[in-house]
Amino acid sequence: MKYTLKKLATLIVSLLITSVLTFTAFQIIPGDSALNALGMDATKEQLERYREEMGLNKSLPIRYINWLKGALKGDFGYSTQYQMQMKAGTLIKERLIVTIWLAVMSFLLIVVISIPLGIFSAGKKNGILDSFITLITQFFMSVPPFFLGMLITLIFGIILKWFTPGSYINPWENFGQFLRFMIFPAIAVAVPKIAMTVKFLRSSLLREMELDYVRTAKSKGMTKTRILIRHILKNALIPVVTFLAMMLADILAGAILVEQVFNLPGLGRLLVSSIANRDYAVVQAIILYIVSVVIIINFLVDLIYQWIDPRVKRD
Amino acid sequence: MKKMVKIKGKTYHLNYILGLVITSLVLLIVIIGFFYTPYDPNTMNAALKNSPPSLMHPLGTDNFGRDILSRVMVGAGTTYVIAVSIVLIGAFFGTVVGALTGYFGGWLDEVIMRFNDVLTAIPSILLALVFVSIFGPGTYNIIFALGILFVPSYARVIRSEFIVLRERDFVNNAKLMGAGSLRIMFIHILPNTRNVLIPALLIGFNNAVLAEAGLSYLGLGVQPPQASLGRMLSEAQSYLLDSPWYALAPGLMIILTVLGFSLISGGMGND
Amino acid sequence: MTNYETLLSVENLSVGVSDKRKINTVIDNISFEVKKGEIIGIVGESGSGKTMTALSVIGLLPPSVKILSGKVNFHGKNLLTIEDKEFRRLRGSEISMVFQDSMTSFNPLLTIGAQVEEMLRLHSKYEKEEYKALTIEALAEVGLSKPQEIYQKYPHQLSGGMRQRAMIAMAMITRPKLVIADEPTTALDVTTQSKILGLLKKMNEKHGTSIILISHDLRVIQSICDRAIVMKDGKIVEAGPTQELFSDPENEYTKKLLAAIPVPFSKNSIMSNDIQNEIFIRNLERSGNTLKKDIPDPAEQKNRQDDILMIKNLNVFYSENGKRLLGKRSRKQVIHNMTFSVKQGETLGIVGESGSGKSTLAKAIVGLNKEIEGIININDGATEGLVSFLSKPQMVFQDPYGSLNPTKKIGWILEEPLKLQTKLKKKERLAKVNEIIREVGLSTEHLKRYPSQLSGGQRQRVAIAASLIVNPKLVILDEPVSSLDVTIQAQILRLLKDLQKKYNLTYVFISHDLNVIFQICDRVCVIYQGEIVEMKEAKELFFRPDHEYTKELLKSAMLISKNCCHI
Repeated sequence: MKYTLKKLATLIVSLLITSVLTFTAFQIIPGDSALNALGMDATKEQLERYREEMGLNKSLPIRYINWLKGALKGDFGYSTQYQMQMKAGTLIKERLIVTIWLAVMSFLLIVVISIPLGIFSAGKKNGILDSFITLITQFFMSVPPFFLGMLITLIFGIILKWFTPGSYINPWENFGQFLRFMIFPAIAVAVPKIAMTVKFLRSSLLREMELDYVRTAKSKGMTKTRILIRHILKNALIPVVTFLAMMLADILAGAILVEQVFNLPGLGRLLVSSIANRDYAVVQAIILYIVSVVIIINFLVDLIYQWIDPRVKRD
Repeated sequence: MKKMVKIKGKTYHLNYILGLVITSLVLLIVIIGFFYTPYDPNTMNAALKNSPPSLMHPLGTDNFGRDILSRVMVGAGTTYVIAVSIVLIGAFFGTVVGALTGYFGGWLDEVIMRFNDVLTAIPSILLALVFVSIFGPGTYNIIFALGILFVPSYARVIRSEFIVLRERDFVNNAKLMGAGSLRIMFIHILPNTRNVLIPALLIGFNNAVLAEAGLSYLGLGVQPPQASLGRMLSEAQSYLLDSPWYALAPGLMIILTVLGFSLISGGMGND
Repeated sequence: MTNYETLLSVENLSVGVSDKRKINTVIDNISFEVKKGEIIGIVGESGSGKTMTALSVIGLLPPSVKILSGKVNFHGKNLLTIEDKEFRRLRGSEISMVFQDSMTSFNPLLTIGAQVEEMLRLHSKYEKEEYKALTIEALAEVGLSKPQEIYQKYPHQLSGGMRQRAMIAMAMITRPKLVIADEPTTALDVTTQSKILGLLKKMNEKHGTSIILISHDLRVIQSICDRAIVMKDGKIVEAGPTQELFSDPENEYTKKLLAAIPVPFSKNSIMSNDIQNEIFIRNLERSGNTLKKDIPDPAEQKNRQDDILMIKNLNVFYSENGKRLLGKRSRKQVIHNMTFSVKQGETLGIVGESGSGKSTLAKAIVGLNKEIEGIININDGATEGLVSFLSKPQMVFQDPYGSLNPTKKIGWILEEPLKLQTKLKKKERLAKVNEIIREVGLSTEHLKRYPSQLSGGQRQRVAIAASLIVNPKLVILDEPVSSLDVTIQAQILRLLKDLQKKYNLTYVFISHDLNVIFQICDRVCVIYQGEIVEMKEAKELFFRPDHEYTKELLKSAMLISKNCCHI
């Protein structure tokens, strides 16, 4: 209980710090948001009125609290990059689905492919195959995800014609098509992460195999397979769990880049265009979302940890 | 047995040698690029727009008619300089912070570590994007932004080492010899972290290369007309169907740069 | 209960490690037998090949180690040539092993119960409930109280002694014919050691299990083994019934090993002091050690008048390295109200088991631990000056691997204290370094090397040199020889003694090993849970102890004779 409470406290503090930092960061930007919104031709009264309405004249802490209150409800103010008066929150909600799907699909790919591959490569230690596998994993870790996306587009889209580049379709219009298209950007995001996870799992397994309790297990007369499954695997997977949680942050980063390659209407592209257009309300909101998600997931992983590893003290 | 190669009596892994070879090649290209390129990388030649690889232009020309080979050479150089600067900033400040917090501990350590935890939870591209959105794009801005972003991971690595090492008896011995804290931290303890620090530097370099490429690809890093591998890739995207060589060259260059160091650090780890 | 049937017979076994092109022989043509119901000891120092022998018998040699020749006959089968599948069947059911480090030898993520039970599940067929019941029974048999609770616990939740018992339970649950125990007591406290050995003996008597007991510690071997084999450099140098081997050894090496333990204490010794003295002196002469001067030199008596170290009402605390954010640091009091003094030129021994606080005391005396209340008064007349400089008390640490900076050359390590504490110029510093390295029995060649290139004994010499190079008058030594082989121990102790005489040093010598204390200390102080329990002249303490705890310590440390052990 104490452990959980402690982690919960850390969670809340982290989230608060994040919100404060995110908010403050955009307050130091030079430039007047009223001017930005209304343009150079606006009169002084118009600018004043805008400022009144937006609450820009109040002090920093009050503005922060107002913003936070809105954020918790999903209201982030108005976006300034489109002609119509769009609420930032609405924009984000539209794009959220795509990015979430991309992240989830990538994650599934990673888990499903890395674990068997990792076990396999650990088994082939010290063979020529092993050097080769190492080479391949290093190679795929060296490929920037957006370049990989381009290669995939080139090879599978243009040359092999397995999909048509740019033919993104909304999930509620045709879910099957949506999936069939999304698999390719998901692969682009996943491949470098798969390489990293395989490498990590392999070294985790190899490290476990050197430990004394494996020798004890052998002395009891167990077969190698049994030792692997019943003893080593569980122990080796524990650090991998944290690793995958950290990976989540990377997946989101990769998603941002890959969305650009495949022209997906996701959070990533929205973020980039918002930065270019100085639509700070949207930028703030997206940053807050993504960071919060990462922190919350890390918190959940910490919680899970105490159930899988008995050495973690739980009072 | 892992494939080993014997050179002058010492055995090395094949991958390690491969890494050295690749990195040397890339370095060679980069260094040459500082002094000489076949064409001026910024000279446009409308007549030769998007031409495929030929004897005159071994890697073809881009959509402005500029020679791709020259641009790749210079772009690789830019990437190298940026990446090295980022790692130097991150490693230097990270080591100082890590050493201080690891050695002394206390409440300052707690605070800094919480801070660190929050920072490392966030994808670095995101933070870089925040920074860029506040201060604007540009080469120096991303060096600064990414450099600062790299500090927490080095701090964490060095800190863990220091926490372990400060309990060792040779540190106690150093205190008895009369060494002051600073001397103990940086002359006695720090050299013992090299097994961890050096691979971290190599990995950091790779991450910096990839991060810079990503930012430039998004248009937020190195600004035109300066050549940058990431930027070239984003320009190449529109021409993928017709002129695939435009994308392949810079992409391959990035891969080789990162792969080279990867293999070297991998080879070091296994020895 | 010996049945004269041979259970295991090793014939001309040779085993080697391939190192580049060559083969290094690790075991060189050894042969021995284990009879049913017998306990055999294999004794030797590190590198003697004893562990490799054990691993060869149970078939767990690491892949880089190859069998070169020979047979290992077990129950009519040659273990070196049988099929893997069959060997696996034998392992755990007929032959099992108990390892040295019980913490790492158990899987940290599975309960003790699950792991012990696994042995049953692998080799026999029972009903589900029976497995658990039999496991709990096995845990009770090895002396674990509340076995049902232990069943649910994880390895890190048990103490070292309890874990070792659990490992024995795991090895015995299938009633194997042969149990190999590799240094089963080395990681344990002296009092726990004798209990574990007693347990092994009980298993042997109750179930007729043969045991191969491996140890570097002669006293362990002497305690429960019927016969013993002495190994050195992969060969068997001597073998025979334990009593004979120990009381009348033939081989030179065996004699050397025995002589490193000076006093053949026997438990029921109500021998008079004179007889014990005689035995002691005879042993010393045999081994060529003349460490102690029985008759104090009158001139030196005078030197001893002054107190160099005075401790009064000392309390020492230890806090966890400041982790708590909100000021709640857990502070334990380790030393309670201690008072004693040390005279110039003498060697004071501090004896206690692990957890008694001796290391904390040492650190407090030299100033590494500043959380103290009370008085530590050091009167070593340290004066500043170019030529005769004296320094604060120095310390020699236990672990020669950890006390020297692995990234610095020996020369640098020795020069550093001079750089920091004196105003000598580079040439003068180097001269001093050269001088001291020879004093400790090494050469200037060693100055160019890194610690990893020296042996344990050499490293400890360097550590001694480093502490002496600044001319301290008082040196604290914290278990300086505990991690060294017995023969090297004797050399280092002699070095310390010589240096003490030459430079008129005062030593505070901390150890848990009573025999080492006895060899070098004038007075001895026994510590238990942070308090002084008894403090006397060494001989007085050993032959006429007063306090109960001292008696307990002595009893456990003595060569435990066959008839003594109770669990």
